[in-house]
Amino acid sequence: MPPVLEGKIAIFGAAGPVAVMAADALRPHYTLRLCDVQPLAERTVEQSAGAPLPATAIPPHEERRVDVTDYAQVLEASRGMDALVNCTVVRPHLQPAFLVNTIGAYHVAKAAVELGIRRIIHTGPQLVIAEHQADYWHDFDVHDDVPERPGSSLYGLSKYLGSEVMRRFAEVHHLEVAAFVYAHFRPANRPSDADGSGLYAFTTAWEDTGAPFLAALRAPATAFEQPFELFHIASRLPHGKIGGSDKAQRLLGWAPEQDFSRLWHRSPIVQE
Amino acid sequence: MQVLITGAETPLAQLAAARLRERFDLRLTRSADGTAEHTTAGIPADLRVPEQVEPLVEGVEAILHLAPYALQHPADADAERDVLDQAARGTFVLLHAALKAGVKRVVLASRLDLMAAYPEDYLVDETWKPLPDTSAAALAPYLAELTLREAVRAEPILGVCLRLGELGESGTTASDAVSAIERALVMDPAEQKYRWWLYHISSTERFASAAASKEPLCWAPAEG
Repeated sequence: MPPVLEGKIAIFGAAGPVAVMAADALRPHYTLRLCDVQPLAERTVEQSAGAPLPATAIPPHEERRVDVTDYAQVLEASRGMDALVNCTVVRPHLQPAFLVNTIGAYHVAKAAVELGIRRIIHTGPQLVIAEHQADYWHDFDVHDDVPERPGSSLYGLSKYLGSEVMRRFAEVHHLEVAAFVYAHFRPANRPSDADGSGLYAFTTAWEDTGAPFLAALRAPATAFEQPFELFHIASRLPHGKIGGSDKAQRLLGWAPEQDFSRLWHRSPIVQE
Repeated sequence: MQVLITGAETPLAQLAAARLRERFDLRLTRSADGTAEHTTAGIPADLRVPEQVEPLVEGVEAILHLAPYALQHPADADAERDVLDQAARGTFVLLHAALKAGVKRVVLASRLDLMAAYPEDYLVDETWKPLPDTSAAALAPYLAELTLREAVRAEPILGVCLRLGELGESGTTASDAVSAIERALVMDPAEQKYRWWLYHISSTERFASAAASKEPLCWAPAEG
């Protein structure tokens, strides 16, 4: 399909911080339908220090209450859209984790197929470092395309199943799904972060989080070498453990701008 | 050995229980959603609810998780959600209860339908990638497989997945299905360190098995 250069985009899970950054990047170019189970104005507590909070929608953009676990609501919210963005997530609670993370993904993919929407951006946690013996923590150059290893945790497994459901929909129905996965987020230059305090090997600056969504919508069909393309979205990292967004640069033409260099350089030695 | 069988209301579980009753100490559980006949043996339980599952696995050494094999035909979106949730969350909760109780192995009954998209003249064995369609009915056993497969990579429990055809001469005969289930309960991986074992159990030539006849399962279809 041709790239989505203009039109209407529905973002599910719009109150979350990744969705907030996505909306900021997309707002100048598209008309957004910001969908969440709770009013955006009610999200007033940061998910973590420095995480962005949602702004209310100003026309022509709109806000809509949507429960992603209800297919009829997802279908209606998707009607008239040119692409869908799924940022929904529940981490610690058993029943909603499966209903949102797994079945919510099924609903978004199914609605896309029913309405003829071809491009979806799906999001989730990275599942290559999951604190068990079969993950890739001890490896280097861990590429975006290695099979995920979620382990047995509720969050990881329920999101993994959602990702696999999305993958099958893409393969069967010839969708173009970009799946963005993340580990740690932090602001690019938080004053309270001391120089030389170190950096986790899979970190994304909030400031690097929005632009990949625009790149994925504007990417040509040739960017989707596979119907479901998974991207490790990280800032420019020096560790050599994960790809540092090399695949996103190659396929989507997006490269991270932040590198946190003052955190992973030793602080200057102060001479007495 | 005490064995818990899920899906006691299904034909597969009833066949398995009848065959295994003399050899194993069986505990059966059936759906609590009212679809099972009241006369069906088994403790009604919602496998998605830890408080209902934990008592079921106490003292159990192995679980025959046969419920995901039952082919579902959800009538609407709510039913689709329920089918997927039963398969995914139900398997997740059952597995975590099993880990907590020290259960040694889980044998999952899945479906050869996952491979049906391949042309019939392809020799499709366990090394081929599953290709379920995107219906909830097709995805449900796949989600159960993925849940067990990924969890046993990380946890000290054996996972054996038996992909069965439709019960009958054109798929997997009842006799072949139950003999494979029995083998899966007692197979000994010995020094082999894999905790995940996947087998195609077919009574016809439609689906091949590269593994079932070999150690540790050592299973072959009955000669017909």
